[in-house]
Amino acid sequence: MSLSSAMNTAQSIFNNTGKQTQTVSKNMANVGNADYARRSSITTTSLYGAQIITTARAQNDMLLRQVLSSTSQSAGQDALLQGLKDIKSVLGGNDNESAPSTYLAQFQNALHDYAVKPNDQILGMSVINAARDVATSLNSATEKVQSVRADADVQIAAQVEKLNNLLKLFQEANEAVTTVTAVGRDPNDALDVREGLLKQISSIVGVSTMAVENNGLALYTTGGIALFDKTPRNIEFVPRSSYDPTVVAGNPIKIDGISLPAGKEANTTAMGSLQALLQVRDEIAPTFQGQLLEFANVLTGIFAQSGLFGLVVPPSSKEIIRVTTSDPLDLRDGTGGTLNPSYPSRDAGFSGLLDQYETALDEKHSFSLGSSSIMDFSARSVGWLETWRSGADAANENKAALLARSSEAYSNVTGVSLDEEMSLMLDIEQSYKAAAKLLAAVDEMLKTLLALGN
Amino acid sequence: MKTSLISSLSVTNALRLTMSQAQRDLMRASQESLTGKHYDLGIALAEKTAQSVNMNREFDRLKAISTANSLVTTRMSSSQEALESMVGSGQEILNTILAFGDNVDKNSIETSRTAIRSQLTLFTDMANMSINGEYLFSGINTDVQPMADVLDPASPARMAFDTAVSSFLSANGLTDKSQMSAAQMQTLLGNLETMFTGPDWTASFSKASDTNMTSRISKNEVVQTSVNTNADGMRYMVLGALVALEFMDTSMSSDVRAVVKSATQEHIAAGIADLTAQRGKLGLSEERVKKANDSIEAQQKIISDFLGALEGIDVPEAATRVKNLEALVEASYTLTARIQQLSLVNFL
Repeated sequence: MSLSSAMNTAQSIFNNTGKQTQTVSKNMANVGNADYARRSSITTTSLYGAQIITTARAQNDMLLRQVLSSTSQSAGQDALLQGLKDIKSVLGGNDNESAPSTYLAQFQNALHDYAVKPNDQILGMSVINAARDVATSLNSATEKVQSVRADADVQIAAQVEKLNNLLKLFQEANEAVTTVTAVGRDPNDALDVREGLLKQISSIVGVSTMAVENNGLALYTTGGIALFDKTPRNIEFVPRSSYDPTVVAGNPIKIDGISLPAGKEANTTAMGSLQALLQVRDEIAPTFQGQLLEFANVLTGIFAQSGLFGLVVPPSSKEIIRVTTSDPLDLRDGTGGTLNPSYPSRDAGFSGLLDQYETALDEKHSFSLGSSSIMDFSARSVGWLETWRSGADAANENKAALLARSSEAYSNVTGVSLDEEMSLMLDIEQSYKAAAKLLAAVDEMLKTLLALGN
Repeated sequence: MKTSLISSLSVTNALRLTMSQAQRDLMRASQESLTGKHYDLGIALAEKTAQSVNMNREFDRLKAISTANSLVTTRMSSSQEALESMVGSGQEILNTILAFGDNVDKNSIETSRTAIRSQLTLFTDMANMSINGEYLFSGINTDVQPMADVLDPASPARMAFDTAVSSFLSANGLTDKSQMSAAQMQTLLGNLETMFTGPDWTASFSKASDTNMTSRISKNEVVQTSVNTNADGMRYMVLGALVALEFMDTSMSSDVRAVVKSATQEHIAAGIADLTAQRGKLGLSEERVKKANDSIEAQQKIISDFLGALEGIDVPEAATRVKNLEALVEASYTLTARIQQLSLVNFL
């Protein structure tokens, strides 16, 4: 072993520590970046001691898949819950203050007061007013439900556009990875960018990845529709300008020509927000709207003899039912007073028809939620919505927890620990010092040797 | 090579998550311990929300029915009082006839006629009593004053009566009622009874509807809550009083007066008996209302217990939860501060 080879070794130590410092400082700089995977320098033995050949990127495909999947699930569940909360808001708070069921109950009580004292037209007017409240609550519920659908539609349009853009960016990132890999250079930075995009895409639509040559990726939705394979597939969606109760379903989202299916159940099967938005727009909101229409329909039927309510045909997004008489005597004696026992004159104490109405509200009809009275149906409708919301809320908590756990697990494996980097830096410092010492010693020796020659 | 299975990011995230979750739970638990109900009923009850809505509605409905029942009770107790006074008038008329019926003294008869007249006025006033803007004895025709004033000679009711008498007299070739024989008087009184108990009553004397007011006093019970002036008792009472006024006259022979007296007594007695029976009917309804109110009260109690169990939470448990969460939040503050300080950077 010659002194010059010792010099070379020292030099290679300087070279190594330089590269290592670079890696460590890069890691430290990205300590707060969730999309950054930690780098480590791989050293191998060479003629002059250790030599760094590659910078490895911490990677764990299994954990990443879990992160992507739980991101999709959580985003989907969250979108569903938001939709349900939005619909629930029309019913009021814990006491369902503004629900049609509440107004219907008040209406029945007003009707009872009027039936007990049918000659008091002030009581009669308050029945008419209570009827208006019922109609208004049904109409404002309709308006809200339809605006929830329209909002979902707008969100879908915005997300589809975002997804199209993300896929274009993904193409760039993917090409960066493949070209760098093909020439054998370090693709790590491009991989970070691509992974970040992948996470964003998975919150919109569930993705599964397939590795192709040169480190490239092809993307499919979890349902198996191609999203990206060398080039991004086109995602088409035509938003509707307005929604009303007659519109059963909105326009589909076409990925590569295939419709994206809507999510199902309260613990939704939706992967990503798009499917959940479809579920809100085309399943939950229309079902609730259907219940409101049934409600209006049966209510109109019950009071047909007095023409108290009139259905709006076709129902609009603002109005499905209206109060068509403002005369309490019509209510008491039938339209035009024909049902009063002493028609055409009127017995002011006639309560027969009013009582019949009061009891008819407790009679059973056949509804989509089973055979029940309209009073009971209005309560069941609230129960139906709350069942969905409660289920979605519980699922949302679970899925959010799952996302937090999988992100944590992934971050623990691929993320940067500042303490670890600091301790590595101490190592580097030590070996640098050692190399410097070595160099100084060799220098000393050479000096001694040269002085000998003088 | 990575040696530690922890990243700085996940440490700070975990701390942040714990803290925000504990804060959220604390807010909810403290609201629950204040209200005694679930923070979000819909989330907590899910499909049972329908039960909660139904029960709350039931509770309000019972309250509304029991409030309305007080109106019904007022109507019936006022009717009872009026009927009592009407029966009292009948009794007075009966007493007057008994005391003075055989009296031939003109002054005494005039006194008893005045007494009968004032009782009849009182009777008519009672029959026309109105409470809260409704005539009590009109049946369902509550806007119309039911009983005609038979003492007013110009009233159609009195005119119908007078016509019946005068046409009977002329048909029998008589010019004055004092000329009637006992047999003729008997026939006339029979005719008048037919007139009062027949459709002439509703044509001239009473504008009431035959249908009485009915009211729902509980979810499943409807009761009659008024009586009307078409009741037989009302008819006989007015008939008896009118006959007494018209024919208890010194000009009549004593056997004719005996016929009048016995007929009057009979009519008034029949009137009193029937009005008492009507009072009995109303009394039954009053009893039903009382029972209905008692049962409503009991149901309300059951419902509020049920709602308490359904919507309520264990308040001491919630209070304990609040304490625990407070401790947790404090601990997480301390931990966050300490762990954030715990970095190798500070020791180099």
